[in-house]
Amino acid sequence: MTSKKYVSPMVCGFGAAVLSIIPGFKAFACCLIVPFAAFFSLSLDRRINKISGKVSSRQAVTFGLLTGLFSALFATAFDILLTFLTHTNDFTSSLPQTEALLRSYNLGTLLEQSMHILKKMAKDINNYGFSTLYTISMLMSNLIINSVFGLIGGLLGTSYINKRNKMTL
Amino acid sequence: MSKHKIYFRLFIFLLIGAWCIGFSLKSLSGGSALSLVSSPILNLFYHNVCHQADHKLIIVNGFSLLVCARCSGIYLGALITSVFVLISLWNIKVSLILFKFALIILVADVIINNIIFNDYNKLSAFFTGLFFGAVCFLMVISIIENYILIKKQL
Repeated sequence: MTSKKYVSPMVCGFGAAVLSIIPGFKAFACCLIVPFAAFFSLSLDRRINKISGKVSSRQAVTFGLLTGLFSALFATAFDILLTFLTHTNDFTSSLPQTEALLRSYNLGTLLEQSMHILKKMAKDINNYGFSTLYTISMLMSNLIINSVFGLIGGLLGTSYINKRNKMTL
Repeated sequence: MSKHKIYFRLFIFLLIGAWCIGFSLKSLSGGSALSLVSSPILNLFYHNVCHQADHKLIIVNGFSLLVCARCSGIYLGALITSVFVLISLWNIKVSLILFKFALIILVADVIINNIIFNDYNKLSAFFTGLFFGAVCFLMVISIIENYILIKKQL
């Protein structure tokens, strides 16, 4: 794979990550934006390299995964940057409610241990705008989810492009 | 049916099963201490996949699932289909038209529920999600099996 081939997954992954930080769009990031980004990266690559033949399954998997990975990396970077600038995020703002709800179940020491980790994360974010544990957990979840949905988008996009090619021939 | 395909289908079933157990752990375990304590971490994980709006969550066994009714439908649709696919050992072939049809129904439900009536119907969201999840799963599995696994054997 040449370096030129990384351009379209990177551009589309970046676009998907930008859309995913817009409030309201975040919920659709994985199931709509990332699969569409994978499909667009396939189409974009074909336009850049002026390819008109059938899309191979290998290409679909590669482009889907790469778009998912790039979108996960960019989305995590944007999330970290926003958290760093604002010293708050969804996690820290919802933690008091979560804690109140969990305390109502009387879970004892088990809850204390769990809350200690979560509170440390929230405290780091409030004080420094950065928490290593939060960053790792966000990166891991984004990498897993976005690459799976990117893969799905790549495969569905391939099926669509190949069907459309068949019809035009 | 080749061994590769059976192992692949089993692997996919286990993955989707684990995913579904994750978002329904509190309900399945009846609110066990472990599931309640792990819920904030799981919540953080599933927050990337779903908006988790309170009025859109399905309540099972006295505890709400960690994803909305539509997402629950999509994942359960995929899980149920993965069981059928594993048991029946079909050679799957799904037309793109069926996928488009399922997608149109899903989008129509989103528009009708959220924009036209402005009232979320959990039941319709769940069932349109269930249908879409089943078709989407079949579509993806058929592409993987028919293009990738067969090519690997050749």
